[in-house]
Amino acid sequence: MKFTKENFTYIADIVKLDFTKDEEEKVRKELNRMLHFIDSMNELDTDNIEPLTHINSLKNVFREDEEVEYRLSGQVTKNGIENKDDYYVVSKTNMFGG
Amino acid sequence: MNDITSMPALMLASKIKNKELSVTEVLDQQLKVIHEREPLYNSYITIMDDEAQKQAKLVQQRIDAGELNDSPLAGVPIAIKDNICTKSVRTTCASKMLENFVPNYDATVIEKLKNSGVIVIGKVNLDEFAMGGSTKTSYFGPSKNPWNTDHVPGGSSGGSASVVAAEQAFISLGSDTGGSIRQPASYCGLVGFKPTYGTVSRYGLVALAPSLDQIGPFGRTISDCTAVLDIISGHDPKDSSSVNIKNYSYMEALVNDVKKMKIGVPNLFLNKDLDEDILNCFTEVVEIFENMGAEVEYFDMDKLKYGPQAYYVISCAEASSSLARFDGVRYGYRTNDYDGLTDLYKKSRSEAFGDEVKRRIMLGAFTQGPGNYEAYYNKAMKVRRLIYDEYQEAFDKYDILLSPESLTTAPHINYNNNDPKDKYRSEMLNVSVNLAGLPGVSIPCGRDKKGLPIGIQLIGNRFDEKKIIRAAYAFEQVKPYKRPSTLI
Repeated sequence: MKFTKENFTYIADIVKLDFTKDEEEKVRKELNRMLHFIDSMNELDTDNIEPLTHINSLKNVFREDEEVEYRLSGQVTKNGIENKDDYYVVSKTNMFGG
Repeated sequence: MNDITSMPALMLASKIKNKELSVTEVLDQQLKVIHEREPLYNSYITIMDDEAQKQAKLVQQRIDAGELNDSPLAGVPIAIKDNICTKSVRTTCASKMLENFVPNYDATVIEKLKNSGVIVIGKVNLDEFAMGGSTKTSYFGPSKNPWNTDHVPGGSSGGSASVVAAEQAFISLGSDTGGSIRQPASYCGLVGFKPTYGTVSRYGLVALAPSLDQIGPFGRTISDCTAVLDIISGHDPKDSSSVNIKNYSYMEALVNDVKKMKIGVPNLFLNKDLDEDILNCFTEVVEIFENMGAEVEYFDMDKLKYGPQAYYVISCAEASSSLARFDGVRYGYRTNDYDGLTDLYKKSRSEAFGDEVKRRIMLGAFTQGPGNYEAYYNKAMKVRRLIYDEYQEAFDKYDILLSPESLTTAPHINYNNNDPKDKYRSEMLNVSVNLAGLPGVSIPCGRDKKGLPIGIQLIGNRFDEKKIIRAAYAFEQVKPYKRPSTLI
């Protein structure tokens, strides 16, 4: 599989990145070289192999509920470029891509 | 030569404990050396002059009150890779995106170091968001190798390696996703330790690839690294991947004895691409281990050559998710000029992320996309299983595995190689260790014709750190640490 002009634009939109025409051309070429290299893993037969999702076994760990005090008021939002009364400020938005 | 800053960390700590040196005296010397040498190496992003002085006073009081008698490194200055959160001290990930980001909490490893009286003196350079092997993708410019400033220190934890080699810190922390501690350690002639996945809490480490990332120490000796590891390891309820095992104490493994230790050398790691000087040095290393009574055997591990392919699919997929949080709203860079929220996201991300970061986000999204998931992401996870199994088979036969750390020594700063095959071949020695969640340590073993350091890698089974510590310690007795000849 390859990065085409179409799927490149589609994916860039999903991951919220803009590329100029020249950038796109260059990045697409680089990524396709990388995909070509990655494709060589298909030489390895993986039929009936269970994918390894986690190195350490994942099981639920239960504990008693404990109250922990977090004094985060005013601290969390201060790294936002614009904030007011412990809220982040963004432009007006609407669900139709505004 | 500065008598104080060139000392091993453990020796320094014992002099502080015996009142031969005060914490402030040590810190003053350390900061002096940092400021003198920083124009040469560009390793620090933030030097914490005032903050460190405050810590030093407090630690001296705690030492005087006898509160830190059990701490092996009380009063020792440490440098921290700038992708580990430090409360009230900016944490940039060497990216324009986080140039002004100031966390309001300490990572668990920072809390532990501070509790043990270790002095955090600054935040050091890396490749942007830990993506790279040279620090050349850093927004703050590349760091230099103290052995030869025309060469890179390696990466992504290049600053962490450079500062310890240049005596701008006694010890440091880095993070290793696909060799990012071991490779720079080898390029700078240091010991760099990547612990078993789950040994050290990742809470407060800005994620690159959460299933592969692990924090670990740099030092000039294996003893210094082990002392740091003792402090930072352990279960943390704040990191669901950290493992609750009883014994996270490693100092007892510093024993000069490898008699009857079974050491496996994967033939694949000695391929034709290996630099001649490194091969000669490695042959000598094998002889040293044999002379010490270890049993060395060469054997085949054929699936490891697919490690880099699987690594790039998995790490980029995870990075693409990890970096989705940078939206120009909650923290980080925001564009000045935008029309609506979507435009704000796109422009902020496009203006603040560097090329390598963008490439990996794109690749990561592609391999998980419709129609590609099975062929790339799931395939890579299956390859990961086969690599994991191949290691487990190897550890049925051998106590530890031994390999060169890198196919070459530190490249020239202007060297660019864009052929993925060449670029990732060297990573074969490293990335499979992360895919299998194993511990690995890089230790210095000699120098090439240009005088640049060569490193070897010792790999252990999961949670079997002690065996590689023992082997590294025994080896170090034969080949002790040498400081860069270029240092004054």
